[in-house]
Amino acid sequence: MKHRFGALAAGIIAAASLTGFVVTAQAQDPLAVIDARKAELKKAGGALKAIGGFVKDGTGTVADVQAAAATIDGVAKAFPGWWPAGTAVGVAKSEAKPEIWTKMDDFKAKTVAFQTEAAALVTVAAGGDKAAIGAQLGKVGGTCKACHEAYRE
Amino acid sequence: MRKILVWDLPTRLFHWLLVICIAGAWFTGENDAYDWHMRFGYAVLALVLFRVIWGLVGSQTARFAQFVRGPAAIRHHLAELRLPGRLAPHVGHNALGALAVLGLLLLVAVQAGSGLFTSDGIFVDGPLVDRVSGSVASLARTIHLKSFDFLLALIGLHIVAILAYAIFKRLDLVRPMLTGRATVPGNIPAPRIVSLVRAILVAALSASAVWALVSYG
Repeated sequence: MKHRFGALAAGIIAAASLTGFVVTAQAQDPLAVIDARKAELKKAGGALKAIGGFVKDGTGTVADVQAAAATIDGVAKAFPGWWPAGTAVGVAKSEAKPEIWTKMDDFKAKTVAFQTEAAALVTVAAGGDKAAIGAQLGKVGGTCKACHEAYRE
Repeated sequence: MRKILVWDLPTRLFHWLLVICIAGAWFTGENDAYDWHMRFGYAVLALVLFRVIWGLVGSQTARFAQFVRGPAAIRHHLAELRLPGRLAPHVGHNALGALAVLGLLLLVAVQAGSGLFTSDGIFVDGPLVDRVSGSVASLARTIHLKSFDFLLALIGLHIVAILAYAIFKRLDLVRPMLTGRATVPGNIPAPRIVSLVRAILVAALSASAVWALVSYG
């Protein structure tokens, strides 16, 4: 009994460590991380544009807006995991300024602002009010801009 | 000595409208007024297109064939500058001015042209961003942001040069670009000035071409 539990525990720990190692290893491949985060942020930009189209021209439906808001929210939630060391400007097509890593506290604060406004956008989108969506969209864009100004090439 | 028209009205209007539009584009770009920024950018494109066509069909001093000379002319002008005292007035752009014109037109075209394909990734898109791949758009954005430094440097050099001609060579190059007139020795023939109607046609053509490009390109 004792040995079986021990073996089971060891097996679980090994599996978890391996998974962790594999995920971490993938996460540490700078080129993959850079490509992935650029693609994700581009998706977020597209979602912002789509919502903007709804607010300005009435393009699309409220459901589209809600889907787009969910996309942005997803990007914001995953955002903190995309900034391993060694992925600054100069590596592949990275546009991430080195200041991200020398001013990580501020970068993290700006990330939180992004996450907060993105989550609020999901809530507002659920209500379907165009004016409110427009206003909150502006706030989300403001958090994008604030971070870009300091940390994007 | 007599006073003659050396710069026609279309060329002078082009020059000073370009100054206003570059300044306007710079100011609005820095202050996030992107609606106006793009309007100034479109105006710059139309102005550059106008100037290129005018350089082929305009008044004599506006034509590239008249002032774009080879290295020999540049060497000759540099030798002229090294002589003491006043510089003899030259009708139209001198050989160094020619280089400035070409350099400035090129950098201005690159600045405005790259803007067409630039996006900030948030809300502001140039009119032709969707026409190119992500990599091209990214390159366009890099050029649009970085090339401006070179343009600014060349504009600075242009202004310093104009001042240097005035201070060291007693040659006022600003007044002729404002009034069109310069005082030259009687034996220098007045340049051929073409009809304003031609200028209006070229301007209309340039404006239409830019409008079509940004609306349907």
